[in-house]
Amino acid sequence: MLSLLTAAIFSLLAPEADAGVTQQQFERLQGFSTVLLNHVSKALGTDNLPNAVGLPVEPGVFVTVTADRVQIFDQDVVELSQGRLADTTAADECRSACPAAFFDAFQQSWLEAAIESTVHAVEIPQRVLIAAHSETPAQTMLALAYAAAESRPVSPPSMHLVVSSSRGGLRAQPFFLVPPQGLELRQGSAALGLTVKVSQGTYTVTATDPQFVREHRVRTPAELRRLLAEIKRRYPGKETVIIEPDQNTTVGDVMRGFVGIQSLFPRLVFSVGQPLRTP
Amino acid sequence: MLPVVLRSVAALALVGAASGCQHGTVTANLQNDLAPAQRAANSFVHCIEMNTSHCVQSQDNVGGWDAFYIMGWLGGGSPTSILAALPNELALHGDPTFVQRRFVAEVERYAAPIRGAECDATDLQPIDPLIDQVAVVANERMVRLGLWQGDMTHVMEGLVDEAHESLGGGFLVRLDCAHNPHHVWVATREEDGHHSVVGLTTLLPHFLGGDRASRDDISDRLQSRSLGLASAQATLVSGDVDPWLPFPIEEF
Repeated sequence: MLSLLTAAIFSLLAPEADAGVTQQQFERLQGFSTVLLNHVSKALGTDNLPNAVGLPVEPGVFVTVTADRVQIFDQDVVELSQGRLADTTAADECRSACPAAFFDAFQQSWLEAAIESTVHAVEIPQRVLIAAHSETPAQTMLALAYAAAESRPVSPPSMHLVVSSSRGGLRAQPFFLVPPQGLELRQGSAALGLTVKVSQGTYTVTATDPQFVREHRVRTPAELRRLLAEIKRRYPGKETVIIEPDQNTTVGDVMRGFVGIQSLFPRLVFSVGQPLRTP
Repeated sequence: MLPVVLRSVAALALVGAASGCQHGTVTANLQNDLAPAQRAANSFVHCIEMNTSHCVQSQDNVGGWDAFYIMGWLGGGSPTSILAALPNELALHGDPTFVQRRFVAEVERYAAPIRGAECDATDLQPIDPLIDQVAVVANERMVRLGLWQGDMTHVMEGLVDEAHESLGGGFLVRLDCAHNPHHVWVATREEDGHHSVVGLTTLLPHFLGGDRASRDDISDRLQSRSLGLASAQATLVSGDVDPWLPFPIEEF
């Protein structure tokens, strides 16, 4: 029996006499984007993803968020109701106060990844991709992102939002998270700390730079773009915008705002309201 | 849970019995309520606790367990790691020496934590239905995710047959432990009336009866030396805003 199995395995892997088939099989085994596309299509439909340009997807832990559940890979881990968690009790270990249900699910997933890494000689993924329905509350998506990041051993992973691109296919929009406990900037660091607070129909723009004295309010993505273009002229070296959505803002709202300003401030950082301080 | 002293006596007796010594009377009295497979599982764990080098017999045929474990991984493991490692895993599975070494390495990885974990066999399931169940789940999942390709039909059939051939009539025994690794599952098989352990895992997929550990237990495991993560440190780059914001502060 072992000999039969061995023959089948080698026929799958490397038959020298049929190199074309072998190469094709190898390429298909490397098809992370195909696996992601298959799963996202079934779980929530690619049309329901937020639209953005993004970058090509690369392998990592993929998370899908629909109105009624969260999946890590293809496993149901948490139930949602209209995209929200019923019990938002925070995990003690989570400094951003992320819900225990999310933290526990990711911690279990990291443990499984760690065990896989010892048995199968693979690396613990350093990338998390979140495919969220565009109507998902942005704060749900961010609570998941913080839970994934804070529960990962050693260091937070790189985070990506799975988006649908007009060029076709799934893409990944990278984003960062303000540290869970907030950020104290060094005096004289010359950081701008540009922040856009998104509430229903209103964008409030602030910054930590003492010279940025005013708080600006605008109502449309087009007005936001004009305002940030003016700020960019004053701070041409800055690349980063922090977006802080309120509880009524959806993932789609956030990405619609970001797409308009992406060419000005391409580095996206999310916050759930942590303080940015300059001593 | 047996008192520590009694467990130590039992362990000594069981190791003696496993190595051919006939001083197993105390052990038999303590364990006579257990099924032979559970007794074999407890003996195996006690053997590990005693740090003997005979826990994994060199003639053990562990290919069936490896086949079962691979199917469990395909049914519940990370698609990312399956994509990265499946071809190599299948190639290695064809090498009996490697398969044997992998089992030994797994036992050695958990030897230290098991030594103080106070593990006892608490449940067992016949493994034949589990082999069929894991094959169905793995097949369905591979198709659904788009991982089913090439000659996978023959590969899966081969894994199922090998698992039945090697593990048939055996059991999957669950051991619950007071400390890390908290749960251990071992596979046993019977040959000439003798039950021996041919596989070990500390993580069983949910669809095979593995349950979610508590947050404390998971934290405990993630920080254990057996996974090698406790001493690992993140790399900090000078000039970056923060480990969470790894880009130059001038651009922030």
